[in-house]
Amino acid sequence: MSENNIMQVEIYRFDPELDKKPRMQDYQVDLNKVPGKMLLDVMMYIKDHQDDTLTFRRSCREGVCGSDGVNINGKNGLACITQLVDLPKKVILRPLPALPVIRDLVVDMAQFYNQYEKTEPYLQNNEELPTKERLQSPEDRAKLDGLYECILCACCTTACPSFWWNPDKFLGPAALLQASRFIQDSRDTHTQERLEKLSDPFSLFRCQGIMNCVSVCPKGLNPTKAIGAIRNMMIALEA
Amino acid sequence: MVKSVTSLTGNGLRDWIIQRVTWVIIAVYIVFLVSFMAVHAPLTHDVWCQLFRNNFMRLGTVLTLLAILLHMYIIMWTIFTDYLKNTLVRITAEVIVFISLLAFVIWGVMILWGT
Repeated sequence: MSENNIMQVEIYRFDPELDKKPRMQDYQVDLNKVPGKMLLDVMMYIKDHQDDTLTFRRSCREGVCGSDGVNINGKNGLACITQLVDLPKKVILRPLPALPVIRDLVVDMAQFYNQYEKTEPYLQNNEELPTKERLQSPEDRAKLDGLYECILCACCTTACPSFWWNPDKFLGPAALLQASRFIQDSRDTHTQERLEKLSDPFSLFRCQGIMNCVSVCPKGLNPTKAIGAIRNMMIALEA
Repeated sequence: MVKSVTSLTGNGLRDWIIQRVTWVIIAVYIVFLVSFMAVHAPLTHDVWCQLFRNNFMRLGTVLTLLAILLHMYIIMWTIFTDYLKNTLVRITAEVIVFISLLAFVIWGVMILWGT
């Protein structure tokens, strides 16, 4: 066993039934024994072989479901697509910031989904229902690229200081990216209503362009650009 | 939609546009003033007084002071709504800032047209 293959993993632990306050717990993991190359494999190895009380969410294990968003050495990301070779030998794992902790690395996503719900993330069209389907030109379809791919992992929203300070008022980057996805959609006829609902001083305009959302998005999306596009549409509507 | 009574216009887009327009006014004023000082270096008290006796300069200065008032109020309101979670404390802070900014504008007008 090579000394170099030992990873020190410090994990935030909190069980509301047992602990009065959160604590950090150290684990030493021999990476030679871990069957996989991702951080999630290390977390699952710890749960399977060292401490089965460790709690975290995971599902697809390939960056599609967005379940295993965690704070890795101070930066939000998905454990399942974070490669071990890109990490130092000491890794500190904390739950996503700004959301209440249910247990260990599991956070309560209710506030995040509340903001998502406010954007009415579904197609709204008042026109008569077509016999087959609503067609869209390739150019109009291309406008949705970079918007529809969001997996709602909450890495961006929980990395945003504006969301930290006003989680009930500022929708956050993920919800605004979704709002943009429907505002840009040529098949949606509620564009004006959608823009008006975002025109208050908090829902969208609390974005200060910090761009933490861009730097942490595991899918490489750009919520700041999407927010800017919504703002430009508002200006065009006002003019 | 979140309603806000104490924001400048109650509308995020209008506040955002005002913030950008006022920033341009402030930037133009600063660039002009620095350029003037550079051109007239070493600046004397007489040249300085002569500059501010010009009515365009006086109006430009008042416009800039008003721009600072609007710009600063929006910024401070944003900071206060981020960090001051007690409504009474926040509104008190907002009132103090607004009165202070208004006092600066009035003081500026008094200086410009005072003597």
